[in-house]
Amino acid sequence: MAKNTSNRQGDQVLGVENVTKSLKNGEVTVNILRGISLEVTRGEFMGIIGPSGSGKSTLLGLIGGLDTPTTGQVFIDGIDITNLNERALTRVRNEKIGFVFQFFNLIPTLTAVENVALPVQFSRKNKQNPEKRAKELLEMLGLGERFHHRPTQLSGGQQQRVAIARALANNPPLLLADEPTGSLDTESGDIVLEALRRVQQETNTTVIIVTHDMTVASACDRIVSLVDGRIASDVDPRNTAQLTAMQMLKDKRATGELKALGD
Amino acid sequence: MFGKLGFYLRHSFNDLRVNGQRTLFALLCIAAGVAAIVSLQTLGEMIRFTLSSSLQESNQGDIRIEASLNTFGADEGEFEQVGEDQIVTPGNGMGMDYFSEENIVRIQAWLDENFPGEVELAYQHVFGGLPSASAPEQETTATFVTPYVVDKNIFPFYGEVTDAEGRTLPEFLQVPTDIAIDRTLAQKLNADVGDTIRLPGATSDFTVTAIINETTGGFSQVFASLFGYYYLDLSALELFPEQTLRANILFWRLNDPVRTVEISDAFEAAFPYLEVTNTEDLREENAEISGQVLDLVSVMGLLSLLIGGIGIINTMQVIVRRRTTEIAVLKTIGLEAPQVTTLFLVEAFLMGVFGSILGILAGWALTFLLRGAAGAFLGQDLPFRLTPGPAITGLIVGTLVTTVFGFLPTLSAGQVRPGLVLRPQDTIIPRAGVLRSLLAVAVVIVALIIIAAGFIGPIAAAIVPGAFIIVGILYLLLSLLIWLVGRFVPTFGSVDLKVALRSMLASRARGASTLLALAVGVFTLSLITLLTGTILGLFQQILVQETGGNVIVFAPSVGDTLGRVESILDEAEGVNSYAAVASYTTTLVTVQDGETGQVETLDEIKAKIDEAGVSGPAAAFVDEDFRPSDTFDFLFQGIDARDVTSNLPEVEMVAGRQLTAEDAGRNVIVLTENDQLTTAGIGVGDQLTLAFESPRLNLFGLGADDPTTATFEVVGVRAQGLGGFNSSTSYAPTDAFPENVQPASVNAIVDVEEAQIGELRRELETVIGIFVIETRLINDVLNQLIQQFTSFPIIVAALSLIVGGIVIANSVALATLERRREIAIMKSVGLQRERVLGMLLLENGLMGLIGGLIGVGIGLVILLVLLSTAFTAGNGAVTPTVPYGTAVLLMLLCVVIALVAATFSAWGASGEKPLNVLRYE
Repeated sequence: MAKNTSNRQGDQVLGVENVTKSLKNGEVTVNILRGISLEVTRGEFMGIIGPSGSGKSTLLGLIGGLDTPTTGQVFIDGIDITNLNERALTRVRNEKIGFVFQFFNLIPTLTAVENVALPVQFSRKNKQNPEKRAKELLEMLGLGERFHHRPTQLSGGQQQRVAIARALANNPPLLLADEPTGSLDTESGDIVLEALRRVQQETNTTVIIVTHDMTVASACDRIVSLVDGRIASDVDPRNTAQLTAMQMLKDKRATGELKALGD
Repeated sequence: MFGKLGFYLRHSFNDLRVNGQRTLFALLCIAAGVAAIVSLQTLGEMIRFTLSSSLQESNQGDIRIEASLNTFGADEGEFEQVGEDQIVTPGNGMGMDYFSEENIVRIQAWLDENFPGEVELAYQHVFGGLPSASAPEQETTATFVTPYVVDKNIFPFYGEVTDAEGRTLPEFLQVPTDIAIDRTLAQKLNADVGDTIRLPGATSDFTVTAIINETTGGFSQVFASLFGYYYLDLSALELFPEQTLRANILFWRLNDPVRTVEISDAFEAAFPYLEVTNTEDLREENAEISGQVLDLVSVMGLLSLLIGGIGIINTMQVIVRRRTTEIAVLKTIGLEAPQVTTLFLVEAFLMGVFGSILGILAGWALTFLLRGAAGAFLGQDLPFRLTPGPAITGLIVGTLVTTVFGFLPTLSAGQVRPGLVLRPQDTIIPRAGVLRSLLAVAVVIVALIIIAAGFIGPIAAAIVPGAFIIVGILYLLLSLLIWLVGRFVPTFGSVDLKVALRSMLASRARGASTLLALAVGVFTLSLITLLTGTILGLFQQILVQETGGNVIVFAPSVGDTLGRVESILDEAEGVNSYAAVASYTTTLVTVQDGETGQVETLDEIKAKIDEAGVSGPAAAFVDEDFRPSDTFDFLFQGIDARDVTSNLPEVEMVAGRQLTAEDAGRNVIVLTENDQLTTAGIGVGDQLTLAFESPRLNLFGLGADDPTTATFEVVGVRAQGLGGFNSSTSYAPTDAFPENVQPASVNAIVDVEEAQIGELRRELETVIGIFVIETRLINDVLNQLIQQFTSFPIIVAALSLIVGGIVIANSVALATLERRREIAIMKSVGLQRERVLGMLLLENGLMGLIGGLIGVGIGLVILLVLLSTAFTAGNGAVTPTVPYGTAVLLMLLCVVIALVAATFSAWGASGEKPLNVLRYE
């Protein structure tokens, strides 16, 4: 694995350099991503937004090592994952990345604890006790009473929190969430968002959320907006004007005004 | 390590539990195959146990000596010795060789001299001819009955002959007219204790004093258990005035059974031409037979399991397809491809274990049900006995086959792209890739070779790859067939049919494998049943065409038997016509060529036949020492004497001419076409000199010093018949035979009024050794024989069809599982449950029909090829009729199985609420 990697300086968790992704559909080539560059540091709580077909999920897939870019490079925690083979990529996913999906994707035949313990059991490095670790995380996410429930015995919000716990099982530096509240009602969605925020704050894990829900986006500290495979805007929370705008969004959300708009 | 294993097990257990119906069908696929293996192997073990235990009982003594002279392969020294010893009296015609009273004394003397006080001797009397028995009060008759005429006080040496009340021979055979009959004979005669039994040639009737329990008698007793038997005490012989004591079997009990082989060898050295069977011989013989039975049933069981294996492939494929998203999730959280494959393999393994356990239990139950058929097949009462061996084999083989068959689909699970998790799609089918698939097939082949080698030995290395190639080709052909049906069968505007055909097209691969399973099952069953049906039909045809009467009479010729039979037939009421023929036993002495005048002796002719290596029709039934020319003697053993004015058979002549009225008194003969005759150059115009004596006696030097001879000119060669009465014999005018020689046997075909048959039988049965049978009865007997011997193979073949049916049920269950969305959409646009179910039934009924057509079709083709090969040499007088009705029934059976299986597994799915599927799955 060391052959294809190079260490990056600083506190950078994710580096995306001029990444493109093209797909051939018959005789037509579709350019889904057209040169994306991005840097994300440890502990950021970032959202990627954009309309349908803008390339959000494709970018998430490339960042998560689920797919490989046509050109460009992706660095996770200093490791260039662009040219890794499937076996090495699997290890990166296991140790460096946690995934949370819109449809939870829990293993239906396993209990909450078993689902969460799974990545620890298949980790080569992690020597933690899988069950103990799973219970810690579930406790942290407020599911102490639901250890031995199967997914079908849990509500949507609870299932998604189990999924978050599973994503954190190997203590990855990066957590990727694809529409994490997309299948939930607002109340459950809020609980899940709070959970993600708590994770970021308590474990200093970088959280990247892909969403087209502005309510979710407003909860992020940084928002990257994609349009037609390019970054249209990258709202920096250190910019005061932007902070003000962000604060305004948050306020609107707190008063329920934004929610009303969304509905 | 244990954590991962725990996950694999937990995950698999839960998955099997949650998907109850799918699991049940998959388990049934395995269980059916394992049940076949376990039940058949258990039966095999039971057979082995029965045959190898109580050998002394089976042999009815430590040593048993049969008075039959085996001439095949005997050397000249032996022939001479037989002539000098004269220890056996050869039976003539239909009589059997026997030990006379005087010779039994000689054998006893030999024992007293060589092994004084060591051996006790018993014997069994044999009647000549083909024995029958009748019950005059019930007006019933049984044929081919085996008589046991024994000394009630010492027979049997081992075991006991008992009736239901536990009484033994001395208790129920108290006076000479007492007779004990077995259950089969009691049923045939409709007779019970106290009823009267009449035996041919006896001056007095007998009274049934006991119905004997079933006994275990080994393979030699198959005939007896099939057609029934009776016991008489030796004292009953006084009721048969024309009978002297004729023992065909001697039984010896040794004081010290350890000396069995020693004493047996010593006797064999003294009388090398006699058939001596000791318990050790029997052990070897039985081991060989049971070994062969075991091999056969194992192969059939394995076949069933492999058919079940197809079900496993289908199930695993669907399991993997249904769970691509789950697999993608597992890969995103860090499971590598081999780990994903292992996860599914563990599931297949668990299914193998549970399916096998279910199969073992079902197999035991099946054994209990099948032992009757297996017992009938062997002529043995099989005591129910379970052994761990077959169960262990079933568990191991079932689990291995499931895991091996599950390997290929699970390999594709490892190749699911993790990115799929972001865009779940129903249409994505995981593929293992060509190279991986080829590698997996190679692994599967090697694994199957190893499994099969355990059953059939190293030949598996050749059979398994061969079978794979054949299965591969069949699979491709079936896929093509489904494609053709799905694509080109007109739908006549029926939406239901269109949907059914489209669905078939969409799941072509599984359809092909399901068809394969069904077709193999129905093929095995159809081949056996069609073959049986054809043979039965053939016999019926022969009986109708070739007998020309409704009663057939055989009798060994003793004194003027022909005259007696003819006078009875002349005087009997209701006899419309009859044809009686005396048959002479002769030996060919010389042949003079009609053209060159050159004379050849029998030895010269035999040398020619041996050189050419032409075997006669009986070659298949003789032992390994046999020479081709050994069967040549048979050609002249039965020359019929025929009245040329009224009693000539209707036959096709292949050379020369038929006899005519002008041949009366002339020494002319019509021979039957035969390869050996052709090789020997014997044909029309040649002069044959025949000696009137048994060729067997001649061989052993027991014949008359100067036998009567006569010379016949060959005027015609007739085509061979098909084995009916008088259908294959050579014949000459009655008055061409020398007056001073006796015919060996007499046979007659009588056309008699149905109502008079009983009376005619009673009159004829005053002739000693006579055998009277109605053609209708022959038919019944053949039916019974064929049924007895085919019931077991048919059940075994039916097992593979049942497995095929379960594979269909499994396949339908999987299809409905895969198409839940489709079904829900159909229902959401307004289709009723019945309509949806109807579509599924239509699709599967069609599959059943195709499977039936293929399976039965291949069976029919093989049958027709077999028949055309077997009947090429025939004269065309009898044309075998293929039972097409049975073939159609078998096809319908296939459709019914498919429909039942489909209804069973699709009922629930067709009733599912659409919203549940569309919104929440």
